[in-house]
Amino acid sequence: MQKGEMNCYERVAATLNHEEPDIVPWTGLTGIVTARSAGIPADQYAKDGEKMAKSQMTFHEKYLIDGMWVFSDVGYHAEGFGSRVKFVGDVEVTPYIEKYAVEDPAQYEKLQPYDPEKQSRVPVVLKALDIIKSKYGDTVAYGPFVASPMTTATHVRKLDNVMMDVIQYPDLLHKALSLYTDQWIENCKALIGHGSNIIWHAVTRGTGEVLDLGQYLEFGWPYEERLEKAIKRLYPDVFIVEHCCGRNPHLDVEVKHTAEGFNYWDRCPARSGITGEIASIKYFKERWGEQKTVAAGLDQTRSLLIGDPEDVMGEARDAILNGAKGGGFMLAAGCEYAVMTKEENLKAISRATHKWKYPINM
Amino acid sequence: MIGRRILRPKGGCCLSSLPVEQIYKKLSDAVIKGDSVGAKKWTDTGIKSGAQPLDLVLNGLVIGMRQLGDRYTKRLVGLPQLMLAANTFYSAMEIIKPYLKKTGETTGHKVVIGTVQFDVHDVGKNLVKTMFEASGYEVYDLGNDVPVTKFIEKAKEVNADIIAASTLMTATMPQMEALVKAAKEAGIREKTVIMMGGAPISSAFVQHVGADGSAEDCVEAVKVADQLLEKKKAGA
Repeated sequence: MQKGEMNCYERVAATLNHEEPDIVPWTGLTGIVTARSAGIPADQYAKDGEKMAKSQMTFHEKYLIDGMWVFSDVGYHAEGFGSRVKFVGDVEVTPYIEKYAVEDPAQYEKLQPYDPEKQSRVPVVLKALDIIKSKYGDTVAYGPFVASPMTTATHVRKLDNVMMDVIQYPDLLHKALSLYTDQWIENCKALIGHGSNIIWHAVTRGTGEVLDLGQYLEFGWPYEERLEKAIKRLYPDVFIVEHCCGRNPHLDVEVKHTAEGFNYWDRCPARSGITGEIASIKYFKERWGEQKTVAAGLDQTRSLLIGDPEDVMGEARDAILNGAKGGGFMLAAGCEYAVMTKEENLKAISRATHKWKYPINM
Repeated sequence: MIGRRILRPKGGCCLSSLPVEQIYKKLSDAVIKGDSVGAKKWTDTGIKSGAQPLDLVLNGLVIGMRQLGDRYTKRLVGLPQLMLAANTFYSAMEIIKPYLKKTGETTGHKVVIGTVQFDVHDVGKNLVKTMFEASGYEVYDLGNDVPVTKFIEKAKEVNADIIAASTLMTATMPQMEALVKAAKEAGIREKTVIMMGGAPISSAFVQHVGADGSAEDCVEAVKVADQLLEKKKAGA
């Protein structure tokens, strides 16, 4: 199957600039699923930049994804602060944090910045980016998973402890969030220096199931904005697309961030954390479509996982119908593509974007 | 509702200067505010006043958890308040538990709960556990990163009515399917309700893997459990 007239990067860039590309680009959080496509064990993928690059490129070429998320696991950056990640061999399991750097609030004071070129597993991603860049240049949109400062907080200290810190140790938490923000600015300098032309900013705690609006506005939003503003100030040409997990994203305030795009799980169905209204793609486009590109439409837990290609095509058609006209839309799952997502379903995504291409006349 | 004691305040005065209904109210308010000191104080007062331990739980602490749980469901509060309330609930329960054992008061069914192998996210699981305990279920918490075999062994050992498994990640969803398969192989599938929870779990997925049910959140989880047990009993 051949792509259209634009290359993948041009397609993503046009969409983020609110212009109609040739076909709807597709993207989304691709981690260990890419390792599977290359037959590489998950633990090796997460520890070896060459294998990570090979996996990502194999996935890109096999399924024609336009926007590549060069990602392994949420602990890759938190290792720099002292969290310990467990790698499981033999089975396709995403590495996970087995020990957190901060177990006692007093340990917040001991946290130190780290060198992303040398410490943590950020260097693994840097190596992967180098290889991807040398092969594709800027013909593909690719970038790392950048955890928001509040998301990072829950990779450095266990989520339930951080939730208690919100109430019991807010000052210590604020101090740590400031450190995480500065660290991510440094990380982004390295990641962009090694080729990233897009930043996937994961604001996974900006949802009503985790923080209420007041807490999010105090502990989440300001640090996220500081990070995004810093990236844009240093690298105005690098795009930022935010990703929010959860069923109740605080959309009304998240869309006020600097990022050009927003990815969320519209199919759960997401409800606004503020108004409670179902936040479909149509809802999003009507309210914020002129200022923000939306990346959504596919359900990583239903159609992709347990459905068949016809289900995926149907879901994609519906999403394109509601979101694609005028640009500002990417087809994407609302969270990470599960490692056991059916191959034929992944192929159906690209098939859908070619079948219902611009101009959208459905 | 299965195994649930009908809530009926004893009424009248007790040894404290406050009527027992007001002690219940103080307890529920303490849970809602996350005030562990107050919860322990009013639990002590209630017990010394001769209130029934189980009534202090059901008419005080549980009411507080439910009210806050409802606010959480409506997204009027976040996880921090809900977790603080859960901690408050447990701090008072530590005082009440020995009295419950003495009086032999139990209300519920047995639940084996845990987060599946290769996943260490347990906040949701812990909240579900709290709501189960608050609703009178006997809960066996296996923690997180729990292999399927451990779920099955424990369920057989305690003759569990429910196995409740949680995962936050799509990557560990296959463990859910393995759990149902293992329950069938162990010969306990027919008699055991299998519930699944966590952000990526949908009713379609539950049906796909052959489990019994799932819930949107910890408050709904207990309601679903009650319904599934009722259904199981009716079908038996």
